[in-house]
Amino acid sequence: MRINSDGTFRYCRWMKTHGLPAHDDTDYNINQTSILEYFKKKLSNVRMKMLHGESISECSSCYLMEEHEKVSGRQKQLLKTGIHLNEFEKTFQSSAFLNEFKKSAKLNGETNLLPQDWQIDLGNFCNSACVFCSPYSSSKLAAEFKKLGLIEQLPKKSWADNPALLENFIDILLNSKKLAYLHFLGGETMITPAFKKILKRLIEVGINKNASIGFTTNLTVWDQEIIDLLSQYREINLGMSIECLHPVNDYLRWPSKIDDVKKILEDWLDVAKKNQWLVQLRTTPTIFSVGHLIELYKYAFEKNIGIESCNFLYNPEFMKVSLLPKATRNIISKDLSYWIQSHADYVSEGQIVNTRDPNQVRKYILQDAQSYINYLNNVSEETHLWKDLVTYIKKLESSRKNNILDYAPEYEKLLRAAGY
Amino acid sequence: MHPNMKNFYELLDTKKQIDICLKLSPADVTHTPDTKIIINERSYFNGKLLEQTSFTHNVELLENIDIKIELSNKNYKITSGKAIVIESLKIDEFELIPKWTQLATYKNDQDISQPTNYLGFNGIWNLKIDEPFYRWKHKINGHGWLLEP
Repeated sequence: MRINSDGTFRYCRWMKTHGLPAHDDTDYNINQTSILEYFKKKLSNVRMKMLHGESISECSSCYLMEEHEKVSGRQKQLLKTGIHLNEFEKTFQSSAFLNEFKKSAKLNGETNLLPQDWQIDLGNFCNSACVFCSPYSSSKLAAEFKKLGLIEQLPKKSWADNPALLENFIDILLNSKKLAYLHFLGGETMITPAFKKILKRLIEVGINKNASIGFTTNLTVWDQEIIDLLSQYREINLGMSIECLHPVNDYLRWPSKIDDVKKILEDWLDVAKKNQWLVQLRTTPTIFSVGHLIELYKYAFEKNIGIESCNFLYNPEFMKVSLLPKATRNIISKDLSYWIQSHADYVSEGQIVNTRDPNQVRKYILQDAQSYINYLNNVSEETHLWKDLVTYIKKLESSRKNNILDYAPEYEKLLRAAGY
Repeated sequence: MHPNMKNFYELLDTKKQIDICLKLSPADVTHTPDTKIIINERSYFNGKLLEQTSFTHNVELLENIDIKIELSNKNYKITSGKAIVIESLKIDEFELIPKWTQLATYKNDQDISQPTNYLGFNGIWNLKIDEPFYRWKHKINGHGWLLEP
């Protein structure tokens, strides 16, 4: 389950909604609908579609990842119920949830279970304004968009800013006996008050001994009190957002500075090592960073830390790597291929789906790199989006007083041709 | 949905079984070991293992699995080389030897319980899987924790 910043519910954290609130019959909100009603009853249509073997359009970003042999969110979540796509029939029938599926089928898709795995979007309060982000995930970007006329209104306040809704939500968590995993997103989680509040409350009632916590931070802030709280949990999955180690990261994750980011990254790695947390670099390769992706893979490989992008970027679509000409993509993919070949001993025979298995980190890094090679080689070229890209970055640069060519001069010809 | 994938209702109508394939050899054909094989309390073999021999047994998909291989009547002074070698143990094509031999117990009259597929002592080598095979396989392969309803 997922609760978005605006309080809308989603039945999956990877569900494709273009980062925007959906305005259809799936658009249930914590303001009007109880979480339990949504999970137990309102999702019945989706469950019945799945039971009848229908494709779910909101799962399309996962289908795309699977097409390019990238481990999808769908696969990862199935894994938690013991279901493996490569042995689907037997693992499905062996799943501890089979009887629950049967019961749900008899109840026309309703269930008596409660959510055990949550993604909790706490709001868009953020000190960064990444160029590929959305006003719904960054308050700084939202303010800039409004100033530039890119949006008329700021996004609504987060559900987590409403004390009554937050208490209601915490109560649901406290009453979920089988609660297993909570993944927090912002904005920037570390500076979002609700993050600290929920961590404290779950410790007060002892849920920290059973539930695992995941969260992503943008490597620009540090809060020792939160770190002390996190260290009291059974398991922490720490995601650290970074696009590359090159200064183009400053342009993409504006206004961060790569040297400061690297310092905080090292500090987090020290804390994680001390507390035995699982760590991953989280990256969202865009047209401007995909050429530097190899350096990030090399860094992760050397340090033996995971690296993962949630999906292939689909929004904003003019920052997708598919804008790049085939010849440019070939150079990037060949470099990645040579690098993978230089570590052939670590290439896995089968697909690693548990991306957090600490014993398979290096193998998984190579697997993730291979999925990008597949994507770069096979995805259709979308050159028609260059003009949209140039229009967008020119607007942002007018406000930020920066220039992409200072960071990525290799793109000058392509950008100029599109009107930059 | 994958073109060949069954939907939920079709899956419920499909009864699945899995094969247990065991391949044993005598370590020395001049001293054939007295061997017993018991799978899920059912005796499959009880006699002298004369040569490399394969055994296949089917179990229901969700059935627990209990495999016992016993060597008996070995006289350590006369036939020190007498032993059973577990060449292969595949459960639904998943090979357990030698990678997972440490998951079996080996109780014998010499009290040497190191993981092995070479059964050189009078005693019983036992692999017990106390849950559906695919859940067990998920765990031993490091696929991460499993949610419980």
